[in-house]
Formats: sequence, C-alpha cells, structure tokens
Amino acid sequence: MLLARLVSDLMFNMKVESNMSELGTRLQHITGSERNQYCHQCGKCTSGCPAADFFDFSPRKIVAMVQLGILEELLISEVIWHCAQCLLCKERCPRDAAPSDVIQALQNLAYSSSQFVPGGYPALLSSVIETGVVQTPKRVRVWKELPTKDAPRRGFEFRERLSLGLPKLKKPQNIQKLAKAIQEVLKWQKE
Amino acid sequence: MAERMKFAFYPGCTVESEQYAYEMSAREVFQKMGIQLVDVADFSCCGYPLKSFSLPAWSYLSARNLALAEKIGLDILPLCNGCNLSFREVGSYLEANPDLKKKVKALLSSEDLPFHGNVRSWHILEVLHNVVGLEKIRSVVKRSIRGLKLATHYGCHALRPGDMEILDDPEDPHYLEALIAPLGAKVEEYPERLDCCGQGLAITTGKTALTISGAKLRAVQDRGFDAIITVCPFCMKMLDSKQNAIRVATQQKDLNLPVLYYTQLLGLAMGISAEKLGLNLNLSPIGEVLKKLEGK
Repeated sequence: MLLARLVSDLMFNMKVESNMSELGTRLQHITGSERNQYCHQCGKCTSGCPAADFFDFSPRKIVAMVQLGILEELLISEVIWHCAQCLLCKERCPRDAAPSDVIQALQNLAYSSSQFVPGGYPALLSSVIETGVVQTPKRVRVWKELPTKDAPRRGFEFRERLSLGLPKLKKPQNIQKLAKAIQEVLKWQKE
Repeated sequence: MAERMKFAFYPGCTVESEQYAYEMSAREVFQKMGIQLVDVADFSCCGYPLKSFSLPAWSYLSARNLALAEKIGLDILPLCNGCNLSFREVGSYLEANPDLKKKVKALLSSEDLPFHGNVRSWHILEVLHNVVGLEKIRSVVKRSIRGLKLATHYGCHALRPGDMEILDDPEDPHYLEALIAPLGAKVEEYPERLDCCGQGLAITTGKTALTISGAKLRAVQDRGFDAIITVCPFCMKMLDSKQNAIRVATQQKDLNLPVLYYTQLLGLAMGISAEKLGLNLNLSPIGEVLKKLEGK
C-alpha cells in the first residue's frame, strides 16, 4: 500500500516535470488534449495492436515514456513509425488516452525537429505539392477476358482511366497557389 | 431528404489513379439508384497521407476540400475510408486547436475558400444503408446471388474512432452484412472480421503489411468463405491487388481468395454487366465467384 502510494507520488511528480518540458508542452498542443496523462497502464492498447505482433512495439510503453517525459529518445527512435494507425488502441482505451494520437503527435514532432520522415512519405509530400494529389492516374493491369465457367483468364493488357470510360480528372487548376499554401502550413509546424 | 440525393463525389487519389473498378462500379450503381454524383473541379488530396508527419498540412487539405463542397452547398461522398475519416475528423481537431483553426481559416479565405464547416462527409455504407435504404436495395435486385458464403471486411477507418459515429457500432458493425443480405448471398461473421489489413504499415515496412494481410486472407479462406467483400480501396489494394505478392512473401502458395468491392457485388445483383463493374480489373481469382453465379 505504502509502496503503491510512493510510486504514484513519484509518477505524479514526474508528470508535472514532463508537463513543464518544452517538448511535452508541444506534444500536448499537437494532440489538443491532456488525455495521455490519464493512462493507467492497463495494456488493452498493446493487446489488440496489429503491429505489436511483428515488432518490439508497445503503445502502452510509448504512452508511459511520454508520461515520464522521455521524449527525445522516442523522437529519434524508429519505433514510433511502426504504428499502422488502425485506431484500435484509441477505441479500446478505457481512459480515453488515445495512444494512436500520442504516437502521431510524436511523429509530427520528429518531423518538425529533424525534417526526417521514413519510407515513402517524402515522395507523397512532393507529389501533393507538385500535383495536388498523392498519385496521378496510372496504367493498370486489366484482364483481356473475364474469367468464365470453363475458360481460365487468358492474358492481360494495361489500361488507363479514360479508356475504361471514366471521366477526365479535374485537378487543382492553380497548382502553384496550392503548393505555396502547403509550404506555408509546413512552416507553422516549426514555429 | 431530397437534397441528400445529390453529393459532391470524392473518389480519392487511390481510387481515381488506380482502383478504377471502385469508381466504375460506384458510378454505375449510384446512377441507377437515383443518387446524383457531382464531380468537383479543384478537389485535391484529402490530406490523410501527410497526417503522420504534419497534422497542420492534413487539416489544411482536408478543410480545403470541405470548403470547395461548401461553395456548391453539397455534402461529400468519398469512396475511401481514409478520406471520409479525414473530412469527419478535421472539424473536431480544429476545435481542439483554436490557433491552428484560425490560421487554416485565414489561409483558405485568402484563396476565396471560406470554411465554416457546414457540410459533412458521408461514408458510402451510411449512404447506402441510411439514405438509399435496404428496401430500395431489395427492389433493384434482378438476379439473386445465391450459393455464396461471403466474409465482410470494413477497413479500420470505416469503424474507428467510434466517437465519429461513422457506422452503427465500431466493435460490432452490421451495415455491410445488412446490405449484402438482400442480394441473396449468405454472409457470416467470423472472429477476424475487424482485423486490420496492414496497409497503414506499407509505407514504412512493406513486408509486415503483406504479412498482416496474409494472415487475414488465410483466416477467411480456412473458414470456407467464397469471397471477401470490402468498401475500402486501400484494403482492396492489399487483399486483392497484392494477393500474389502476399502469396510469395508469406509463402502461402495455396492462397486463392476472390475479393470484390460491395459496389461490384451489388451491381452484379442489379444485372449490370461485369465489364461495366470493372470486374476484369480485380486481380484475385474472382472467376470462382462468377462461375458459381453462372452455374445457377
């Protein structure tokens, strides 16, 4: 009983301390709430997490580290990029601590402090800035004949949207204006 | 209700640039249901793909598209779970971040796109279930799809977060099951029904994404289902388009499961031709499904 009280006092003091750190404040600002402080480590988040089966990845531990103010270590770790954002942890959290929001805020902080994002993210951003969309129409594989009862599918060809009878896309006319706006928005993040 | 029968149509980047079958089948069935889909000039990315590293960029892009819909006074109908969630969430995110809200609104106003948040986004299942209605669906079925046992796959962002109230119940949804029943097929619940397809990890770690999808396909196939029916283009991309890659990456040579969009299944039941529904774009073995239909 006494030990539990001691641990809880210690956690509380550390929480206050983490609240005062600049990164902690920014993280709370990004999530727009103090809910991550409500976590009582029940572990429902990690037990349902699809990524936890494949990586040393635990939303519960990440939230604990955030509560204890261990942020720098998380920001440079690839572990924060192992979340699929399936939102199961957010749904099942009995304390409304939203681990997936905390992880997303950490990813945002990692980007604004180092401008680093892994995998295919930089290409997505360039594409949105250059075209307004993450991907322009591709030619896709189309089977020449529909499979029937007896004949298996024979061969395929590559077709694009217009040849499939879909209308031409009306994409942002003034792409420079959109690009400028996105660059402006990205600047806010660093402020 | 009348004004709800017309929507600003938002296929979303993935659908309009590669998942053409979804757009083709959706345009076909909605037109025949009397729902008008309006193509909007200037729609851009919904912002979701940038959300992981820039919530401000996400919220700007999401609000920008809503502002375009606001301008023509129409609610948005996206085909993609991610796009719909983007549009559903941005209002409350900006409410919780008043500084950002002020900046986003000011930037949009400077582009002659005032954003008030007075139009909303509808999930395709909400439109089919709550606007079109099951009675109407029942009335347009010309060819009952019997003899198939189907598994549903909603996709995470059709269900969660539950406080967005996208569908009926985030932990026990029934819209898709309810929409399949009038077509005559048998639809059964299964333990892995709400499991993620893994696509969210594709951008950082492709192999894991394929492994998660492989586990889902394995479970459905082993439970004796004839096909998976989905409404999410990203899940379709994993379960259908990448089924061959999954077969190789996870060393499951016997994986062979048809995957269809709900709009394709509905279209078949409405008597629309397979070509018009883009069924020759599905890369999973949907011949097995068509075979059973022909065999009746």
